[in-house]
Amino acid sequence: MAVDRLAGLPLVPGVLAAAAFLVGLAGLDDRAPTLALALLGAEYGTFLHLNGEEIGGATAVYAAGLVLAAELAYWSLELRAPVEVASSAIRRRFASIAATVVGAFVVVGVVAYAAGLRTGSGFVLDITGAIALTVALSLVAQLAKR
Amino acid sequence: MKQAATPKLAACATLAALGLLAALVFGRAGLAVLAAPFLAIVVAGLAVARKPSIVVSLEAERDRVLEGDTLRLEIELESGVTVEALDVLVAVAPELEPVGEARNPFSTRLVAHRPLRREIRLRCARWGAFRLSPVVLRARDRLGLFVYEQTIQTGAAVKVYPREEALRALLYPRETGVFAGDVVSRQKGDGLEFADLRPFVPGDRLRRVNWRATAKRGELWVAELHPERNAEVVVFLDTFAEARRADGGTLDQAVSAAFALVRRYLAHRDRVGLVSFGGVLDWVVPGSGLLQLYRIVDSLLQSEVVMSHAGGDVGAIPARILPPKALVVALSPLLDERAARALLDLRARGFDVVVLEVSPLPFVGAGPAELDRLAHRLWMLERARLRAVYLGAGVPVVEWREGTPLAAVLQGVSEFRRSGRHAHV
Repeated sequence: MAVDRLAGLPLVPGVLAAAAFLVGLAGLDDRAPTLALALLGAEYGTFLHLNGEEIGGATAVYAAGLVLAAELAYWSLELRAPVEVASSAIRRRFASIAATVVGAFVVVGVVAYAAGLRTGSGFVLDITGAIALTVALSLVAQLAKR
Repeated sequence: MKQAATPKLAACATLAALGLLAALVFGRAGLAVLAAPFLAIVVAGLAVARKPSIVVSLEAERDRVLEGDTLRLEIELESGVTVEALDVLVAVAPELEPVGEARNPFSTRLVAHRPLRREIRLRCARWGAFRLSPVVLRARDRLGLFVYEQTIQTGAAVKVYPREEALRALLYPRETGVFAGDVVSRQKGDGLEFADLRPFVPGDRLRRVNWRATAKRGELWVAELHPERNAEVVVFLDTFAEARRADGGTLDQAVSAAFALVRRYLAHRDRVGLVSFGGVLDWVVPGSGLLQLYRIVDSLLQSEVVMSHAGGDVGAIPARILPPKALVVALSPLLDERAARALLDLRARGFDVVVLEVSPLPFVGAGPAELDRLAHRLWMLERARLRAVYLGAGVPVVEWREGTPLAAVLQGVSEFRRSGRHAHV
């Protein structure tokens, strides 16, 4: 019963994400797309939490969709510059986005498969996650220095 | 080139970090799976990012053009690494407007070691000296995670000369100079124009004997002639104030007229100087020849109205700039009292002054309100009074409105000088 009452909960971050995307695309704040993507991730996390975690094809599609949304959002920010863009450049950009999305799909598939090998939590998985997190945070720190 | 992370890189790294952190905190592998592609993008982006080194050369088709002409620029770009997206901006002055299909700025892809040439066409909308610099480059890497920016100063420059007004006749001073020229002097001496007859005196050359007069009078009479001499002219450009709208102003008109006058006077072997009298006082000592033309044109191209509360004293102009016999041709909108006073001061010092009033009226309309219209009428009356003061001092003032040929204005001045020649000085 409690799960049924909370079935609409993922909609909250979803709606907030849509609003954040609108703010970002309107050019009000360049950080808004990042917030929107994080909210979409939170939405999916909530959904997984409420429905019991099942990593599969849907997760890969959702992750690839997130990457596509991110690519298009940041491309739209780049297009605000008053620079004439040739049609060949647009074609190349589309190809690049398509390749990124397919790549993301493959990466998610591999990671999902690896996660499926060992379901639930465990010491090794926790350590792996901690290492991955440390690497990601150090990357962010490095980039912040630039 | 200066490297900077794009918002996309920050976003991907942040999302990856957040996803992994959330996965660890909540023990949900699904969140780590969502974060994985963003982490992969960051890692791939860092791996493939290469700082480009781009060499730019910019060449202008010509370094001197006329106002309204189209200037062709050729820009060549070469890079050691392939640049997926390169934005190029040749940051020229707004007076140089891009025309044609090639835009400025433009975006392109630069293949490694393959030079790329692009052509940019600019319409030179206004006179002046302009630097075709800097060239601003912005490159993005393949995944759009880094942006590289560079500003390159080029030595390219262009001088845009004003369109020359057609002139038929020029104004000349009452007293000519001492060098040979095209102006018939009032003095008597060796020349072509007949001046007078007088009795022969020892030392006169036989070729100057007028045989008809000699036969009639029974004694030797000789003809006196007017020699051809050059003139000394100083163009006085009032740069205290101007009236203008987007496509032009009184200073543009004045510079265009000054350019035409200087060119014509120098073509007639006259000595010409320039005084830019305004917030910044600038001058060119009178001289003649092609080099003098370049000196004056260079100075004219730098002319601009500079706001200042100082200046206005003609005593600040060095004496050698204003030769005593020179004709001072003033180009002024008569908007600033300091310039108006200075011209009267010059006249009081005995200079031969003419004023070509570059009319500000086409640029300044009366407002819609009754009070605005009244103020406009009062201003017009004040201008009429100032003109009367000039005429009273023997200084011809002719209004030059936009669209009227300069030749007609000079004709008006000539008529005034003919009728008023003996009335003053």
